[in-house]
Amino acid sequence: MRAKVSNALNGLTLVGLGSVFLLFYLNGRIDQYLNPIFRPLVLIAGAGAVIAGLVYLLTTHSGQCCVDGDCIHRHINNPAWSLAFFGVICLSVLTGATLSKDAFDQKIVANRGFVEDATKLPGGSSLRASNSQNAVLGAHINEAMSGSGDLPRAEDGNAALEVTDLLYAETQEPLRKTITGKTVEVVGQFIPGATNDQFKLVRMFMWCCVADARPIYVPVEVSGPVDVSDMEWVKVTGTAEFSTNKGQTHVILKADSVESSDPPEEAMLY
Amino acid sequence: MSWQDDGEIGEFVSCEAELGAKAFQLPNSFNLLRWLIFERAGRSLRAIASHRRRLIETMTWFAFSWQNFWFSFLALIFEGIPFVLLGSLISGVIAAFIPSSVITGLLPKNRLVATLVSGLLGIIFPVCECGIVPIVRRLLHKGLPLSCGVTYMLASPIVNPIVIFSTFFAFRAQAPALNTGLRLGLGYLVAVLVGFAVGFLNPNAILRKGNRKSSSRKRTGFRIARLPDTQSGNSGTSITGKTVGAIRMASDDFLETAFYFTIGAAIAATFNTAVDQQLILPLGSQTTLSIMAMMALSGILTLCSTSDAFIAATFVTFPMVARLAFLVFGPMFDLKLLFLYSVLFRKRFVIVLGVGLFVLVGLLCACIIVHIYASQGF
Repeated sequence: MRAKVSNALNGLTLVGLGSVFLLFYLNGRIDQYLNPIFRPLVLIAGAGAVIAGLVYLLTTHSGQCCVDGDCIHRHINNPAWSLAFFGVICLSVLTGATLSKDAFDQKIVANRGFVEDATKLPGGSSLRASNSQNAVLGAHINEAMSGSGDLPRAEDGNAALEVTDLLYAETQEPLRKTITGKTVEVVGQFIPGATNDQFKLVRMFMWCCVADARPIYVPVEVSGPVDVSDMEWVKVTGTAEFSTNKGQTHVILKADSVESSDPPEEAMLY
Repeated sequence: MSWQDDGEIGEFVSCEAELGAKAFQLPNSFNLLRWLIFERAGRSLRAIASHRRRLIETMTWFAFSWQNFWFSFLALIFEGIPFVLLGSLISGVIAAFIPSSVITGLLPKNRLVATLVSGLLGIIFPVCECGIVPIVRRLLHKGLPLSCGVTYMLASPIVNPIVIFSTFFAFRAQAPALNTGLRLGLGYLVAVLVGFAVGFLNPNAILRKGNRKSSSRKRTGFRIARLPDTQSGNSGTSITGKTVGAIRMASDDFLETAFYFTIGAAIAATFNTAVDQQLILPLGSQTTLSIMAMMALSGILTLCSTSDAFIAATFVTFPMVARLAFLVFGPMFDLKLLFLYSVLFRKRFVIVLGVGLFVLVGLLCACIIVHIYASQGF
């Protein structure tokens, strides 16, 4: 009886965990958590866990992992441990899946600090090294430019850029020339500045998953106070200006308008 | 969780002190006793309030948020569990299909050479730190010497082609060949040294029950002894039976490993999101402190070894040697591994291993690696 209870609980743990993985992959929530290269692994792991759980539920323990009665899995047939497995592995993930808002709040920006040097982002230094637009790695701007030879366009005809595009442009002169003078639209999260006429337009940049994400930003200059709350998504329309000080080029976005915006399809940049 | 002084203790202290002062004006011995009690109690409460105020001031480095916790926790689960499952599947396949003779026959008979070779196995069988524990546990059960198992376990998350590539790419603007080479070299050296040290210890004192063999086999940390195979390993059952057996054993491995991994991920997510990581920035100016700070940070952040180089590269205010310590210590020991290693080892050994790795990596970086960097102009 104890073995059957353990068997059922262990099987349910695997099926439950696998189902959460599959659900996140199929409904697209996984896009907020992982870099694209890791996402297929969630699908594979979810399917694998469900299959393993079903095999577990339909078969019985045979002691195959034991040598001379000495078992490597001492707890596997103990209902108390099986309940613990279910609680810790399955319920915690289910609870997280239910309660998670798929986003960080403003405390994370304060705790992790901004990446101040754009050359430390993947692709950043290779831009500087090659000084070629074709060397832009990870920037969506490159795809658009390679096709039409022009910047990607928003619905209203303005150039639609990401925060990373502006930071990469700090290190690459041809890209700066392309952007300078054009009206651009950039979406990001609002972090107030030291005075009312400036704020930070923030995006989180992740390498593998959001656990390693760090905030990056473009400084924005506005003519007056902006009526949005901290970390609210905003769309800034304006022009990017570049200035060089002690051999380092910095971008500042001069805003013509700042308005609330829906979050982008993927909140993280990578 | 935000630490705010609500003022209740402060008000209470004032009230008690006031009562004590009034009592002092009364001449009889009863009131003197009351005064003594109130005065002493007042002093004690003032001390407690002062201590709490200091505690609150020091807790500004910790700002917990459930929203951030769940987001980071799930990310760690989604990133790590597939590798735990993969490691468990490999473990199940080894258990069901590969006889002990193959495992023990793979390694050289010389114990020193076997340990040295084990540190390089990650190049052929690359497994990250999330998936390595169930594999090593199974290999030990199949007769792999403990010294070789520990060496493989510690080296594989660093000495593997994926990590070599990611480290080179992350440091491509900061002496990539030197940094990648030093990471590999130091990781290998530390793993081999720990492996040798563990080989001199009694496995029964290190391994948890179930992971160690009976004394009748007289295995020591270095000895390579073929063990009897499991019932499915060489009993001639059908392929289907072996496959089902492999899946069940992989599932059992997975449940036990994922249990500890999840606890580790929860604790890691707490520190990963709540601790103000900028507090360590001032430590970057002093080499020894920066090495210790970066190793502590790697233990807290619990990053995957395939991505940690990208994070290390962004800490430009820290000397290169401190970032190397981050890259070597983190994949060998962090918050999630603290729990994950508990699947295999006794708790006392896990703690000793953590402290030992911290000291060893720190010493090697502070005494040797720093000079190598200096000679290269860093």
